[in-house]
Amino acid sequence: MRDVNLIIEALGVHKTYRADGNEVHALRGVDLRVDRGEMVSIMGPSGCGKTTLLNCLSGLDEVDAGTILIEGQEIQTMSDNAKTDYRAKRVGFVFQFYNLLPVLSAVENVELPLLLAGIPSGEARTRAEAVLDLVQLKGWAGHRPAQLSGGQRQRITIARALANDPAIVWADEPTGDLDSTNANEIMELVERLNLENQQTFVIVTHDQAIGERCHRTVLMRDGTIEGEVVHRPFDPTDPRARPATPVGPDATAAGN
Amino acid sequence: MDELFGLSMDSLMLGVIVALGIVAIVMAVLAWRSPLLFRLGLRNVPRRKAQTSLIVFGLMLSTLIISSAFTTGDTLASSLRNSALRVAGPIDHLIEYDTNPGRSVSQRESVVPESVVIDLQAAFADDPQIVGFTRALFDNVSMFNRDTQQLLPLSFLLGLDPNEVDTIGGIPIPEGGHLNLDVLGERGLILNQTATRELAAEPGHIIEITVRRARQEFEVVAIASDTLLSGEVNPIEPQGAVIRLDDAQALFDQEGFVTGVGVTTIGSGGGALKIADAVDVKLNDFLQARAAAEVHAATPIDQRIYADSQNRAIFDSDPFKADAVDDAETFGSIFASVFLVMGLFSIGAGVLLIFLIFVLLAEERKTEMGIARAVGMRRWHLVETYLAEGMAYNVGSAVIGAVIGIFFAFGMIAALNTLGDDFGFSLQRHVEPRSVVVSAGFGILLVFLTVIISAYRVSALNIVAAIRDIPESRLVQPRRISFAGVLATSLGLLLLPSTLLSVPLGFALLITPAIGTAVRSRGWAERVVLPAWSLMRWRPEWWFSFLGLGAVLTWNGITDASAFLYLLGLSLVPIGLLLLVRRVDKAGRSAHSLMGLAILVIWLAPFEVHASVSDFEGGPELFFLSGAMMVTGGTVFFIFNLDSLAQPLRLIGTIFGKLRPVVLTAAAYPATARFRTGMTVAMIAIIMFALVTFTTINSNFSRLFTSETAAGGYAIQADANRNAIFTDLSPAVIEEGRPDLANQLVDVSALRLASFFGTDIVATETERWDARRERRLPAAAGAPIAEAIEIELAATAFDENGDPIPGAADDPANFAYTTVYFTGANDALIDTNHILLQTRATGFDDDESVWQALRTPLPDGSRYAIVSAQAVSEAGGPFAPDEDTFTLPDTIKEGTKRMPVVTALVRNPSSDEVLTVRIIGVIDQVIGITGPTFSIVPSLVVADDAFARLYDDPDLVRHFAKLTDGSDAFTVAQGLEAALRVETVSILDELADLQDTQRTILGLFQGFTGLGLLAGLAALGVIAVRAVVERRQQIGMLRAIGFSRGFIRIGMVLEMSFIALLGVSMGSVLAVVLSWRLFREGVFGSTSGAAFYVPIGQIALFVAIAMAASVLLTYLPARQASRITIAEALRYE
Repeated sequence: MRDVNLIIEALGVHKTYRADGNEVHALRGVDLRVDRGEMVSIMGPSGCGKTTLLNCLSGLDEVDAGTILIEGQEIQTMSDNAKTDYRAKRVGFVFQFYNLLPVLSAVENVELPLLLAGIPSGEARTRAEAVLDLVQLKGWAGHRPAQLSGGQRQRITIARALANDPAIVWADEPTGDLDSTNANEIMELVERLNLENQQTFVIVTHDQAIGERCHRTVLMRDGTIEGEVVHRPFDPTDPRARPATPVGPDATAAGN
Repeated sequence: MDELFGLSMDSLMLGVIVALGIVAIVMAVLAWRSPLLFRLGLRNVPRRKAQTSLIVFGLMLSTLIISSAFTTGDTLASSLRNSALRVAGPIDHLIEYDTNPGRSVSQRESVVPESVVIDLQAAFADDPQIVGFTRALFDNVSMFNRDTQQLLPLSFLLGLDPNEVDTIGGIPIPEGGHLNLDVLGERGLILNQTATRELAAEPGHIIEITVRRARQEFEVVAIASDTLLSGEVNPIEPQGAVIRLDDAQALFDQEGFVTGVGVTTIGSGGGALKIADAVDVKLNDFLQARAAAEVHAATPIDQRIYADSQNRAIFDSDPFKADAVDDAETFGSIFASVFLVMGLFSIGAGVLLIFLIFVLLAEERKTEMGIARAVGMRRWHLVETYLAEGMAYNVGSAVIGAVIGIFFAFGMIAALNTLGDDFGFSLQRHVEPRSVVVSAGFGILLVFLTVIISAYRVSALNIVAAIRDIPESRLVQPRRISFAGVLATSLGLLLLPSTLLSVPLGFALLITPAIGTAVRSRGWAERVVLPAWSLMRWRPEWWFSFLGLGAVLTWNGITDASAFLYLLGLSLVPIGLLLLVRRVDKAGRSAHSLMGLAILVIWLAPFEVHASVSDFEGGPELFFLSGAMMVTGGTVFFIFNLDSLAQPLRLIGTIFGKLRPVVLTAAAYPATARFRTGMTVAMIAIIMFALVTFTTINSNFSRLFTSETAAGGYAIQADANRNAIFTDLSPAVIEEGRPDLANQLVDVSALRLASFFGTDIVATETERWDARRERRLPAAAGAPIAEAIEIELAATAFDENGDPIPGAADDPANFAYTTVYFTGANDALIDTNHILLQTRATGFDDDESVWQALRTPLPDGSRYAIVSAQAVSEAGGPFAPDEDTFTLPDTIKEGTKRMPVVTALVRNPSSDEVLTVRIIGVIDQVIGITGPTFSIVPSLVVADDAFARLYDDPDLVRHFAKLTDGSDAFTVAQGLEAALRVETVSILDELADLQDTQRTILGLFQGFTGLGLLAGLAALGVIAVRAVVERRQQIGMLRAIGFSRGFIRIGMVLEMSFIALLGVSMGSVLAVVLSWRLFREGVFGSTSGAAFYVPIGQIALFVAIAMAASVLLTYLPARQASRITIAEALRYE
């Protein structure tokens, strides 16, 4: 019987890149399980396959072999449209280089996923402003990314990731482009959100200090998981670890 | 085609080859001096194949346009030349009665006595260059085939002497070979091919010819090819026939006279053309010597043959064949020039495209350029790399462009050939190698210059901004005005002309290694050789340049009354002011919007506003300038207000809720890339502007010229020359057994035309007039209300010392006359016409009162008259009347409603009778029935009795009739033509036919102008391809957060379509507004109060084509964008 607390389950995942006749085995049979509400970091040296694993788990990239179950659904059997739809409604992304649309204002960037999820314009704007308030950037709503600092941009990225109240937030080096003060602030924000909203965070990072702020760190090398370090135990039965709002396919509707 | 814009093509080719040689040397020196930079540039060429293809396409556009214009010109020139040589056959020169103004007689009187031919034959019997003289008597007749019942209402009948024709080799026949006129027995007739076809004739058939109001029978004995010798006088209506000269003289009652004498010289085609000038001089010398001898011998006037009463030679010789060939070349050149002028918009769009491409290339390579500059590369080195790359694209694209241009022209030629008989000849494809060299060369040079300018522009970068890939503008802060800069700029402007000379020289010195090194080491190259350049570069204050140039040009425009300079100068002022604001402050939306609006206001302001400054004049060049300036102003305004303009786009999101995120991004991107959006919008807008303006103005004219107004209220027009069998239309129809037709005719009227060659006229006085207020000036005490117009005297009124002969100025015989078609309107015409007047004299409240006044003799014996619109001095555009045709004083313009009474003297030189007329009205220019079609000579209409004082035997009577309700004009016209055997047309059908021809030519111009649209669409493709590369990471992110592939595709197509729609709408709206303004203000002449018409159907078609093409062109990059692998795209930095 499937563990109801399990939100991500990867079994024997293989991924090979082929270019100009060369093959790079980025993932060599990776197994990973993450519980709902857990905050997991993935660490390892450059080229070990961290980002590839995150991309495969989040459905941004295809796998060559293995199985990935997200919220019980086998992601590699989903059509492109189904995956896109799933990403729009159930997950959020935070990238190292923010990846905000430079042509949109902060609030427009945040409301974009809401509009994709079919939320009416007025409500989308209200919710986007609320999320901006959550990341303490309400006063910067009308600014374009180029007018904001790195830390502010990353907060916008986090706001955009959270706007849809996703079950999982995938973060690839979220503090990689920030100084230590800003990095610390961002992690405090992530921790707070994880605690308050019980959202699952999977964070790829180089920074051990960041990794240590998660429940556990998965260590990778040469495309395999060579071990993990638990920094603080995660108890899914702890009421604090339960989602404040129901999670699952109907979360958005329920949230509304 | 031998000339273009007055320059010989040989000189142009030489110039182009020299310029290309210089470019080749420059490139070779660059490659030799800096092979690494050269290779660096060339390496970029194969990097992105799709991009390279687009660049080659963009660069070839200008060459394509030039090449197709040249090929069209070559084809026309060659086809016309071949047609001229074919028609002329063995006839190289024509000796005829000289009907210049001052001696305008009727057709019947413009003949040559046979004694002249005898004299010529005797005088040139031993001339080694002259083969023979051929007498010819010809006239227009109707021909009717009794056997097939087919009628030719208007045909040339030519009388030739068999022996003379034999001497020059006979008449060509369709089977090849030549026909001897001995086959012509008594009452025998040779038909040419066209007449044979039209009459369905064959040898043995009996042809009835109507001559001098009687019908004569002839038997067809042979068929000849269509040439001058078989009656092809008019290539558009080449039908003709030949009879024996003595038969013709008897028929036309012209014994002892011929209409003209053909002269055949040695050599065929080219050989005869080479000696044409010499033979022409020889023949005219002979004719003038004979005239002089008569004068010298004091031969009484009535016994003279060669000299008229003013001692001028009566006959002259024209190099007929050489003139026809020259005309062919001129026509080819005019056509190529018109196409090139029309192509200016497309060439302009092509240049913008090249500029855009290189700016985008620079943006793409910004970081590597920054690094290159950081490690020591100079700015000029960057220009060199771009130049190497640009020239690699350039040469290939020029060759491809030239070849495609030729094929494009062939397509246009095929379309022109569908007009067939409308032109009177078919076009045979022809390309001069010289034209290919010139067009390819022009293309290469144009691209070379554009690449240098754009490369110089893009190489100016901030190294830090380039390396960090952040916007340049963030590092450039406004700074204070430098007064030293203003001074330097002023001096630079003054020295600008010297710069134009010294820059090429200095450039050559700088790149020539030996001299260049020496020059540079001494440091005087830039300061001495390039003085102005140096000054302009030293703290340049561009705002001051624009303001200064603007002020100077505006002032020059006012003083020279040049609308082009004035409006150009005025338009530069807002640009200068904007640059000034940008210099001292961060110019934002309002400053740019104001600048754009100011330019639009300047160009769309009512013409009176500018006319109050000076009495401006302008030509077709204003069309291009207006387009360029209005599109510039409009583009700047719109680009800085894109957020508001994107509202309609957002509506899509409101309607299709699911698309809201797509619309949000699609509407946001164009506003953040102003330069590229603006360039693309401008390219599309300028072509749409040209297309829509052209189409709107032409559609309005087409409607006017085919309206019932244009027909003057009549339905039927029947032209009866002196040979016709009748004088009054209705009785003649009844007499011919068609009372049914007569019963359908109403208000039958007639206009008599004195002479096909025109009649002498000279203006003598005009009322004192305030042109601005269009009213008579109050006469000062004792001053006359009319002032005399100074009459020029004919050359013969001066003695050998150039002094006027006493009394000559008082004798009307000595006046320097101009030409007018003198016509007499009968009472019915005066009473029943609806011929609108565009201008009336003071005191006449409506058109009716002007027409009725024609009947009333004035106390001094003079008569009132009305003149057609060709007499307005600025009428006709490029086909404006020459100095030999009558024009009204220039206070009367096309838009003038009130005119002063203009007094003129009309004279019949044959009888020396004169008639003083007082012109009180100008017939609206849309009326085309009062004179020959397409004539540039105006018609003067007087009442019939006034006409009879000068002429009793008109060359032509034009009968008009309205029809009873329910009658079909075309059927009635055909019935009348068959019954009366005169050319009869349904006026509206005829006008519509003329418009059909013009529509086809218009379609070609539209297609040619539309080529430029490709530049705009290519620009869309370029920016779409660039967007895919630039936004790779953003697209990856959008996909990651839930944009489906379809959304990515739709977003990009929507974005590009929005840009296209912006350009298309702006160009169309500006064009319609400008056309409306020009139409209402009568800049193109009176419009008879007709409502302005917007050809919505055609404009919608252009818009649909442009939009469909933009979707097609952007779909591929959009598809590529949607297929980006998310994970890979996100790794992109």
